[in-house]
Amino acid sequence: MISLNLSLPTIMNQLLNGFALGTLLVLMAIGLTIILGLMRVINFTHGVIYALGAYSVVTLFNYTGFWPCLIIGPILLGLIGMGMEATLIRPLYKRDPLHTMLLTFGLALMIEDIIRMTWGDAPYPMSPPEFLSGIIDLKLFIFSKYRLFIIVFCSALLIALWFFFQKTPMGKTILAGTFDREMVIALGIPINLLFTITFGIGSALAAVAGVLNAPIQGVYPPMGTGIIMSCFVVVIIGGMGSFWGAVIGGLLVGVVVSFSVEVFSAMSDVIVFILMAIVLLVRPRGIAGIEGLLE
Amino acid sequence: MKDEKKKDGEMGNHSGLTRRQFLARTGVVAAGLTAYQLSEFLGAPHLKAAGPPILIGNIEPLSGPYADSGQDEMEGAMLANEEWNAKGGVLGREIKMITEDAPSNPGIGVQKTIKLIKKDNVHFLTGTLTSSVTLAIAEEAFKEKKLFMAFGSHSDDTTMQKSHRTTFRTTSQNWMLSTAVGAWLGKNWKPKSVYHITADYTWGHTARTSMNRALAKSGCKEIGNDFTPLGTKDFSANLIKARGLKPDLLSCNCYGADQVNLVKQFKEFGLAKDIHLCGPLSGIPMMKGTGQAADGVWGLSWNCTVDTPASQKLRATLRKRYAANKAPQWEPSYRHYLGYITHQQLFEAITRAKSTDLIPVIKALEGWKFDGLKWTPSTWRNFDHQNVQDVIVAKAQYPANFKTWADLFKILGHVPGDECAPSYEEWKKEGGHELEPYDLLK
Repeated sequence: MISLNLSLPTIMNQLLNGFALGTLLVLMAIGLTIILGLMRVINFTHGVIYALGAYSVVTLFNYTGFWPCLIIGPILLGLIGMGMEATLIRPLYKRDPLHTMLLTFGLALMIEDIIRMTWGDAPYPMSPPEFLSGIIDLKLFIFSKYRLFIIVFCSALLIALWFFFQKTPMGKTILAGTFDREMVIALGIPINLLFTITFGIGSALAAVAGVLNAPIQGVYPPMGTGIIMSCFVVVIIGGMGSFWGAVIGGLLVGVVVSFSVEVFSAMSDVIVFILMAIVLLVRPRGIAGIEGLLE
Repeated sequence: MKDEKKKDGEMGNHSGLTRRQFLARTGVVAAGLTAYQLSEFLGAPHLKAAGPPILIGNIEPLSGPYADSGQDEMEGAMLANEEWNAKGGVLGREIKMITEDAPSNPGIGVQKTIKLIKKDNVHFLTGTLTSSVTLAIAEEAFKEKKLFMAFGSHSDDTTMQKSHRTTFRTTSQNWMLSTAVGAWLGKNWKPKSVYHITADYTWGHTARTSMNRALAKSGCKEIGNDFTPLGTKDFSANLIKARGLKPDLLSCNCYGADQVNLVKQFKEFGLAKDIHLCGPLSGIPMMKGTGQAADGVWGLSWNCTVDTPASQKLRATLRKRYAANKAPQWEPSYRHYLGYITHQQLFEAITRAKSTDLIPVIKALEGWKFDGLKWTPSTWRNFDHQNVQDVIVAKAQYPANFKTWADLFKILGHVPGDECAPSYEEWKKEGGHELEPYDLLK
């Protein structure tokens, strides 16, 4: 049933909520898309790294509190990602891309079971840190403080990432590599190191999303499976291999999901896939995608 | 290597093992196995087979969103098994339980049921909580002529539209829970409007229908409903939408991890200021996960704070058996109660029937009044096999002096089962399926 109770406060709230969902998706999608664009690896471990990021809060929280987890978790998981890439994925580059996809899929299954063995099957409830819990009541809207924090934090991180990709030599090389990998190799840039670092950055971003989302949705073993699908959808909609595609795609998906719950909640599950289907039919490369990449 | 002469007695496969060594090692293993079997037999001297063990097939979600509750049900059932085995078993036969994991997926539930019946040859089936799985198992059990004691499905269907002569349901059905909660809400908060957030499967659907029916008696109307898939983590958009419509009540027709997230997000978005939270069903498995966000008025099937001597005795026994391996704030949940009381009732029925055959045990249960550890006796009702029992209405809370999970609920009152279960006429009107004649089960 379609409900059109769209007052200005409701619109503002759902928009903000969409951005809160969306910015987390953007972080994960950027990680996924640079790995896909530069390394041509379809990385299924992205979801379990996100889950491990959330679980790192469970373990570290009693020693450090919440805030240091935002730094320690991603660094740790970035290093783990780099280790995984260098030892397991690198040997498969010369082969059919299907092989690396199968490997990352298998790793994802394995890591989820390792999570169950280490932390158990039961969900860990979690709450936002004290000073961010509760609501902020401006006359135009009432919104959760913690989700506003997510929007602000992710936006800051996005600006930092943009700066990295546009202004630093390494970032520029990675971005250039997503456009033209062969040229980067031909220029003598050590491609193995570049790949490892890219995988590490992607994993770290997934871990940040995991740490940020843990207080909202709790922590439970299959949490990676749920999010990885949304990430791939965002990457497809926004365009594989494109930084801005990931940003546009993530925000679009977040806002569309929020508003679809508001207006036509029965459709809210499938709306994202309908969107993806439309994009694939009308513009297969995605909104800001690179022509020819996996087309 | 090939040219080396064989040593005396060395076996032809070049494994380097002499015949003597092979025989010695096999002998040791065989002796060990025999000793193990002997010790099992010797360790249970009072169960000198008055017959082979009675096998119970127990199906629970041990993984997935309802894993906690599944584990609790299994533990409650295990306690009953151990108590009866310590007294000499049922009809002198040992109780053996085989638990299979069916995480909220009806297809897997049916697979495991078939495995338990055909491969393990169980005498009885018990368990599970997800209503969709329960219904699927109930169909299979009826086809295979096995008694199925459904511990923990609350959907009305299980003993109404989809009832069977072979199904008995232990926990209070949604109709009972909602009627009790609705009556309390109508009397104390006098709500005029309710917004539902409903898990999109049979339990959620009947929960919403029953809540609406109960609330309508005090003039409360539904102003909106959102169906959310089982396993939804983020209710933010639904809660924002609900707030826009300004209902007096928000009914959470979700269970398990879904309920935990909804209640937490209800607090996160500050809805408690303007809207009352309620729901037909909750319990320790949920509120232990909400921390300080614990809130709302709910129906409970049982709670460890039920102040009858019998309930407190069960609580103490469960604590003695399980607390050592649990968190310091651990207390038994109602799922423990359901597992325990069902197995206890099954064993008593088998004893009364003096048989493990299907029809005598069914007849021993039907109409039987028993001490369900609450304030008034419980009954296995004849026409629908529903366990008609006291229903509890409680407020979820996280008090300042919180010590254990027993502090998570304040019992506001209880309603006798007769006053909140559907009458036969109401049951028939809703599409109650008459139980099959006994002849069909012969």
